[in-house]
Amino acid sequence: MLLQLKDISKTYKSGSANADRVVLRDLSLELDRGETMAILGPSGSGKSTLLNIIGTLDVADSGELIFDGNPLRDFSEKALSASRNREIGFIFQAHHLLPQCTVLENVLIPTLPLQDTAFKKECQARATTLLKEVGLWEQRNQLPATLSGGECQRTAVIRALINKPKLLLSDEPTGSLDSLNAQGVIDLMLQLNREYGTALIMVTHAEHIARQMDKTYSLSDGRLHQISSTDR
Amino acid sequence: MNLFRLLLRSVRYHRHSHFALMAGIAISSMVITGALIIGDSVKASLESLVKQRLGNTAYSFEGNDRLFRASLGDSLEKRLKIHYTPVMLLNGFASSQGGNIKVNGVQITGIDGRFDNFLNSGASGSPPTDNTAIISSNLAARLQIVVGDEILLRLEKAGPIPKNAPFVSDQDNVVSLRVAVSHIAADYELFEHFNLKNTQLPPYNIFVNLSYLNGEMELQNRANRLLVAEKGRRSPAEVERELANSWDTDDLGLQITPSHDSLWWEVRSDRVFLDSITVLAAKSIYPEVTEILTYMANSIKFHGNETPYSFVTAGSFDDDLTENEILINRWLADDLNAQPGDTLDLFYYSIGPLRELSEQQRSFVIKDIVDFIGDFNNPDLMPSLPGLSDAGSCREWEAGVPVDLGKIRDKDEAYWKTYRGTPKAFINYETGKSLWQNRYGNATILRIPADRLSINELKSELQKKLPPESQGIRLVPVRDGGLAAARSGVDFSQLFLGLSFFLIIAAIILTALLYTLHLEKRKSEVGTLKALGFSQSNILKMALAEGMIIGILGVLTGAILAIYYNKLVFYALNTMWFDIVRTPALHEKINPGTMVLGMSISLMLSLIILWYNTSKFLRKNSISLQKGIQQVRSQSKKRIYPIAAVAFIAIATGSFVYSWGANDLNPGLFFATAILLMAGILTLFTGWLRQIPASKNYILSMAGLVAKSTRRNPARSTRIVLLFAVGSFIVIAIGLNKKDLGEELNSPMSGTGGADFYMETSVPVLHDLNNPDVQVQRAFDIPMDFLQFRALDGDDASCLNLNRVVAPGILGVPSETMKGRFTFITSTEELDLADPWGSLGKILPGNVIPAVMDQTVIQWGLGRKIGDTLVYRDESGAELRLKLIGGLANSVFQGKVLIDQHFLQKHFPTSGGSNVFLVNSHDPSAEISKEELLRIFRTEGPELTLAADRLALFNQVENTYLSIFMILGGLALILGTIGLGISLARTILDRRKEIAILRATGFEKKHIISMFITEHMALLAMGTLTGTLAAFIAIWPSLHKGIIQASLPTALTIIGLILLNGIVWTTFITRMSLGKSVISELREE
Repeated sequence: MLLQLKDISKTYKSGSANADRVVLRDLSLELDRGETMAILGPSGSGKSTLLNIIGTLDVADSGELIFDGNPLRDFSEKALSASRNREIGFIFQAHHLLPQCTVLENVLIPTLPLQDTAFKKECQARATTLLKEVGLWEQRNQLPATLSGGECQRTAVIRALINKPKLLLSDEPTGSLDSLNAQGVIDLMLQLNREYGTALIMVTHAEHIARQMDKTYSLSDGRLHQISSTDR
Repeated sequence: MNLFRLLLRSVRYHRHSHFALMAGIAISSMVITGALIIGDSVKASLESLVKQRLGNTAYSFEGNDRLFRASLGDSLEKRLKIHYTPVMLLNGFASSQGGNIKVNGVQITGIDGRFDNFLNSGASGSPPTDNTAIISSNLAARLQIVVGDEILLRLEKAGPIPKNAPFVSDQDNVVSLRVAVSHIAADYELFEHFNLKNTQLPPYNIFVNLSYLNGEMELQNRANRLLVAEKGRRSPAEVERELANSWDTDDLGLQITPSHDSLWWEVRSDRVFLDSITVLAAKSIYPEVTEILTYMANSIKFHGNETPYSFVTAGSFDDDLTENEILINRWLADDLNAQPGDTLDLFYYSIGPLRELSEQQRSFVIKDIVDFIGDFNNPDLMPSLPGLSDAGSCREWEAGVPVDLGKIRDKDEAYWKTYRGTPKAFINYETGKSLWQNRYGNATILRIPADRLSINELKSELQKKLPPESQGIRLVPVRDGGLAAARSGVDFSQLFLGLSFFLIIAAIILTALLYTLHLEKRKSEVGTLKALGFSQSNILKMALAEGMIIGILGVLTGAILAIYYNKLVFYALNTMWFDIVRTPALHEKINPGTMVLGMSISLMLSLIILWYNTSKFLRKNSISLQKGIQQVRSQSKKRIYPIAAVAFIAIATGSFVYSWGANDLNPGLFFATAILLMAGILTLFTGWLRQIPASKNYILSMAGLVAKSTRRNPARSTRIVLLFAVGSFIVIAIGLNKKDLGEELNSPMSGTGGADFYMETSVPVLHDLNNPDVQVQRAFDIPMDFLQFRALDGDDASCLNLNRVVAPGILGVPSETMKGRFTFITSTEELDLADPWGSLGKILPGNVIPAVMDQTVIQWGLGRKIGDTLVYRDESGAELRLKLIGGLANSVFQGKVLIDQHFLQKHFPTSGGSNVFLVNSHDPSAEISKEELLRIFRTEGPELTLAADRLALFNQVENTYLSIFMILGGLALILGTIGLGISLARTILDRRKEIAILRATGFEKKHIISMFITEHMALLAMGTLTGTLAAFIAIWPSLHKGIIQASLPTALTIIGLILLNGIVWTTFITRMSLGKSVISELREE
């Protein structure tokens, strides 16, 4: 088991108790290594919040998050950052590439906080491989401003995978792309999932994309409801 | 919806960023308008001070303190209907409480009822009577007296005879007056401010009755100035002509009497010796005028016989008398037992400038022995010498030279009783002239045949030939001169604009930064408008219209703030910056025209900033604007930066090399070097920022990421660097310029000349104080060494005076004793750098006299430069040209122009003695030495200060100016810090997504804080480094020339403080801005 969520709750306080919004209500979830999962749900249902809690960017009000067998509750800020850096990759609807950095530099940004020089070199080699694999090697020295949306998002995918994370969290990764580019990015993510065994949780509105995942859940009223389990 | 409505909605919607923009514009408007108001206020104050100190005086008829009839101007009133008043204006000192309180440098003015016509409107007063005085309130406060109290005044005795003329007694040189204070002047009265000198410094005034003063001086109906009231319709030339018409031989101090045999008109002078101008005038009336020169011989010796103290006359008594022959009278022949053909020895004193005596000897062959007949029995050949002519016996003589009473025999007394000063010997005039002519003249009597013209004709001719201007007496337009000096004086508008220059630049950069941030915020709005078909010019016009509204609000706010800024500056000028104005008389004046001017300049500057930045912004294509992505600059544009940088640095180098080699000091070059260097470095930096390193082997590091972030917005980064460069430059440059007095003050090369004390006396000292006999005579308990100078009265051109002085006071220096003292920092080729003081003794082509002065005074006080010529009138009214051949480093002589004392004596022979001294005491205790000096010079009114203190006073003024500069530079740094803060906060806001993604990819918060701090500290450091480098390089030539002694610890402290300030604020703002969660940023908006 890679990830286990037990009775996770999250409420956004607004100042008056009546206006408080419960986003997640005693939510539980399990994900195995290499498994892929889609989470569907209407806007404001709490999909992104759930993803941020899983990614340790946000903290649940209650419940427990166990990652790779370790309860993260006792982790320090530093340990959480290290965990995010080495174990988890993020992809968002917007690529969030640093405009001042080239494609290659953007891909290597997650390696900057690393102290392990050998691993850094390994990441650099992987960056080369991945960029070649996705056809961005020629553009490696270009700034994001000169790339297409699809190229930017593919770069963001590679950036998310550069540290060989065990879990890839993806929040509407194709929301700003046309269907052709969107499928290309999904194919890439699944391909890397297969090649590297990286588990994947993807928040999406698109059912056809959700169907490509091992499991599909719907999030409503703060709880997850399994829709299907696909044997890919 | 129309464009106007859109405009108003935009102004309202973006009110927060508009407010920041308006604040930036308001600051520059406040500084610009405020500086102009300050200038107006100071100028108006100085002008009003002219009216306060002169009352209704428009002209002063004066020159060299020469005395003339007090009634000389009667015809002005009778014929021209112009008011005038005679005054006797003298310097002295006052004491009260039995001499316990003494005040030196007091202006004592003898006035009569006519002075009432010159009082300021609304004021009235009655002139003081005998033994009473009106005094100014500042003096009353110093003397701690009230009306009815008595004070003692001591002043130099005024009179026609030059103080150091041969055989003039040095006794009774000082007059003491005991007067009761009848009135203490109020602030609105002329008595409080009366001063003919162009200065804002309040004088210590005492007014006494003119005829009483005349009486105490043993004079009658004399004045040394005539004050003439408003000219009305009369031109100055008319006034001058009228006075010249009234001018007569009495005013010239000439007496014309018939000779003992009535064959001649004999012309004598009150001044004992007849100067060459008078002789020439007489010769132009009658070419064969006969000159007679009578002198006193110490002794006449022949074969062991000696006759002491005899008068000898040189004249044309025997046409065949050769230069080596002498006629002696029977009495002398008998006394010496000499016969015709014998050779006798004549001993006499040659008298130097400070009464230094050297006995000379000349041998003559007796041609004949003459009897007591005709001119050989004429006691009137002896000049009228007070203390001699009126002496009852030889033992009562006060001859101005040592008289050995032991040598005087009974027969000498008998001769004096019988023949008085009848000469005992006679020589050829030319021989006598070669022996005894001096700077006061070369004759004691001029003879013109009585049958050629009547006495009245002779008087009339002499009056015509010797008009007032021939005596150096002129009608000086003191009011116009005063107003001109006030108007062209220290221009506080320019000064504060100059001092605020970098603050204004900082405000402009901040405004530009704020505006750019504002535009960036509205990037997509502009992009949308462009995409919707709005033309670039339409958008520009809309932006400018919006900017105009903000600009007008900004400058209006700035104008209101300027009034308070002016009040604040005036408060500072009256308190902590009092050193630079030294008058409480400054008042605020707000001129609407100036306000409009200040606001217009500020608005124009604001619109230029808005126009430039909007145009630049709009040049980006609409897609990039709408998408908010960066455009890639073309390679050709990027190449401009290194080329421009090299050009800037090359010109800066040229400017540096020129100022290094220049003999002159040029602040323009200083600023040019600094500004060009900063421009060069910043251009290079901007070029680097805009460069995109894309080498294949480039590996991103944390530092690399910081560097790339710095490049993310090159314009913003450059402005931050520029703000700090400008602020740092000014603060560091000023910090290095501040003058501190150190131990080097003991060095003769320092501004003290190595002297312990600087002393001025109200009454001149007539002797050489280094002469051991004089020290014994004056009862010196502690041996002391003196450098003696003679200062002529003149306007003070030092930094203590805010008025622009045209002809500063002249100081005659003993060049030969000045070697190795003081430091010259600028020079012309006429100045021999190996012996600069020696150069003062060498007359320049065109009869120009070499002069030196403190360089700061040449440059700032006079607004001149080295090599310029100052024009004066000498005592005879002739033009005197002084060429400034050297500039001194700051010295105790600030405000005076220094020439060799021989030239001073030649052109101003009447001025005798010394009144400025540099003193070195052999006693190490300054307190004991000071007491000793005050005791020794108690009758001369010494104004004594430690030389170091005097120098410190001048430095204090300069340092105060520099402090203002530094404070304003500090404000520029504050603006820099504000700019840094705003930019940082804005950058963090802009980059929240970036921060979020970094957090998502595992960056710790401390990493991100550290990145932002490093990024902004790098900009801060770059700015500080650029400013520091520019300051050091620009100041290097001055350091090299020894003009300033930069203090490295001071500079390092300032740099440290700038960096610390930056670190504190950067850390604070980064922590504040990054305190909130940024996770929401990761969601697409």
